[in-house]
Amino acid sequence: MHNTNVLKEGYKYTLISYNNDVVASKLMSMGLLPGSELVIIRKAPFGGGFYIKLLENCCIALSSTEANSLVLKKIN
Amino acid sequence: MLKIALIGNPNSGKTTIFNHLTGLRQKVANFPGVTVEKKSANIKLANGNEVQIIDFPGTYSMYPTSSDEKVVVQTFCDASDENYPDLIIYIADITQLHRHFLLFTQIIDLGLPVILVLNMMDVAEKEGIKCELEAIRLNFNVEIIESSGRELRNVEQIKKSIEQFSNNNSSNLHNKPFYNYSISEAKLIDRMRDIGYNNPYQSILIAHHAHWLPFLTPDKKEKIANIVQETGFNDLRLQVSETMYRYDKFLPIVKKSILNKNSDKLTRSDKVDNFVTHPFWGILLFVSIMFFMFQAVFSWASFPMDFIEGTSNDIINWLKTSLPSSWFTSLLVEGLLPGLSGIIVFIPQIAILFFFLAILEELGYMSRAVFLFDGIMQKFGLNGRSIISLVSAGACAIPAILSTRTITNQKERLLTILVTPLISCSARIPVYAMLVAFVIEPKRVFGGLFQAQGLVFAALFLLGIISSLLMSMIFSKIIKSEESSSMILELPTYKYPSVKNVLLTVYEKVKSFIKGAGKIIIFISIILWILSSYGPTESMDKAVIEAKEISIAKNLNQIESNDLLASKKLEASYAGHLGKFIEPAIKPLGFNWKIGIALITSFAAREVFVGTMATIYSLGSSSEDTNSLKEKMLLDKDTTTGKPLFSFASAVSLLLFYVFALQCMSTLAVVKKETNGWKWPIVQFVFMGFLAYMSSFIVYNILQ
Repeated sequence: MHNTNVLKEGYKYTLISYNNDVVASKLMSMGLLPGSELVIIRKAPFGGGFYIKLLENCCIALSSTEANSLVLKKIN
Repeated sequence: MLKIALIGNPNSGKTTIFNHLTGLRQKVANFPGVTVEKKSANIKLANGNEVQIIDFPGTYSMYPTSSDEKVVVQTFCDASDENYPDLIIYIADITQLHRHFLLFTQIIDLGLPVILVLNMMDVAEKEGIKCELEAIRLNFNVEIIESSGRELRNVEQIKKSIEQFSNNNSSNLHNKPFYNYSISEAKLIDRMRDIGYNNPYQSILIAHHAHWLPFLTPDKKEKIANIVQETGFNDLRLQVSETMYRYDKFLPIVKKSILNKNSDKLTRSDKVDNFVTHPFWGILLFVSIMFFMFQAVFSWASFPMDFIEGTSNDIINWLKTSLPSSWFTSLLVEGLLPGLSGIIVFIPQIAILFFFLAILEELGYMSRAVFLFDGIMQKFGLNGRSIISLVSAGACAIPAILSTRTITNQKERLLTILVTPLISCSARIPVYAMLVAFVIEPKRVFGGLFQAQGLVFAALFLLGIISSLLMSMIFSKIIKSEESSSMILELPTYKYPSVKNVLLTVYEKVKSFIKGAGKIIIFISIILWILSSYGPTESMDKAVIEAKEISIAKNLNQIESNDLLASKKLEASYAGHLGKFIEPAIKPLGFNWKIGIALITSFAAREVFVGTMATIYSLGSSSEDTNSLKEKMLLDKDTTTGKPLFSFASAVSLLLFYVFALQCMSTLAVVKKETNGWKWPIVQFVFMGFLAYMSSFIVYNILQ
């Protein structure tokens, strides 16, 4: 899935899994575990990355490459 | 001396606590073998014992993704490392324990004594978070201190606990291991014990990271590789399952201890972020902040800088007249003191820039700016943070290069350092101003909207910006790196800046500049002084006689004959000889030996060019009158051909030369300090020189 085109600002997603081990290792150590929920707050200009917010006030900025290694499911 | 490590996740408030514990006793150095900043301080405890406190880089886990984090692993896995701690103070943000405990449980398993500091209690109270810490105390058997670095709460208690530890130097702080090893891990641990690794978790980490850990001998590496193969140790899968195991085990403990209120509503940080990270308003805000900062560095710094230059000139002139004239006086007033004032003069710019940068960092704004600009900077091989350095370079490359420390990707940091001096800095302005006057008459163009000279100025600055981005693209293709260029960045909640943190950053940056680059600047100043005040005895004597004869023949007054003497002497000096020696090389660019001399002396700093040219044309180096210099240069003709020595084409060529050439010893000194060696400053000097030479050569030959 190419998140870069699909992810929308303001929507909530569940992280199903990762498809890149290096990104997984880093993001898991920052608290983004499979099964956790996140909100897309902002998409950066100039093909930049994503600003995501996890529960309990943790905000992370990701470049598009990293965002593409998240397997996400939209929550309605 | 006991070594005490401060460690925790980024944004846990670790640095604030370190600053309160140590204050001005901090020393900044690098960790062995890498350019990762190591802050440490020796402090005396109330019981008279002295201990060393080391601030380790913010880390998320013992599976590092940056060189900052690698330092932690390599230090904590090697008991013979010079920074291996006797006691660890683990600092966690109480409101973020569900994330900050991952590293904590890993640290616990290293078997070193640990004190747990739960920081940001003031924030927790404001947010209505209630803590019942008994569960943590029971499960980890660890001493807990609830603190607030910002309110100074319980910082004294941390000192007391360190003191207690130093008293009995005992290990009653040993905690029970947290992680349960799987069968294949247990096998590996057994085999690792045979080759001398006794701590189970250290063994796992060493096996996992063996390929890069610097303290392992090739022999050990081979043994470990064999063990890994024979025990079927699958490091990546085990890493993920280890991480999940830790979360599964500590999250219930954290849930029992921290009773959180509803956190789904929009916080103040979120509302601010709606504006700050907005693709339009966010960028507008960034541009305004940078513009303001730039103005401040540029104009506020000019008062103290003028004061420093004025005072040092006064001192130099006073010494000149009151000391007997000898080589020592000359060394003092023409070599040492100008060198010294050349160092001090950078302090206002460095201090003002880091004052602003530290505030922005403390506020939490910086990571938002990185988020906004990472996309565009990545296209040039740079990092979102590079934009801060590039903007700052418009005032001066020295503080800009110092500010690249915050770029954790080593390749992106190096690229930023390499291209930063291409941005036109304020020292180029006097040179530009003088030469632009040659190139174009002051008149209004485009229907009177613009000043023609102003447009040329703007074009020169633009040229600097474009070339720095292009060169960065080229270098990013050439320089190889194992680190992937990525942006995974925590955006901390906005906080009020701590005055102490800001002032300490300013103090530390100024100090490290003086210590790191000062010696080189003084050294080069003295070399340049020798070159321009000494020469082969024969030609120096001849110069003096010649000057006297001309003075008498033309009936010059005292000042005029002194200026003439200075000019003749400079021509006869080693610098003069060098200028003539390089003339064949710079002739294709439209430069004569007089410009050659000025190119050599202005290596001290670009603005010296104007002064040297004035001396050569017997105007006295203090002459501020660029108009009379311009007239003299225009009248100057080749004695054999009768053609003017300095034409329109050579002025444009010289302008381009100054846009590109690295004519600044202080930049070289700082790059040497920041890259830990002479390799990169030399590369930088050569490529910028090449750019300068080629563009001047091409343009001169087209225009001529």
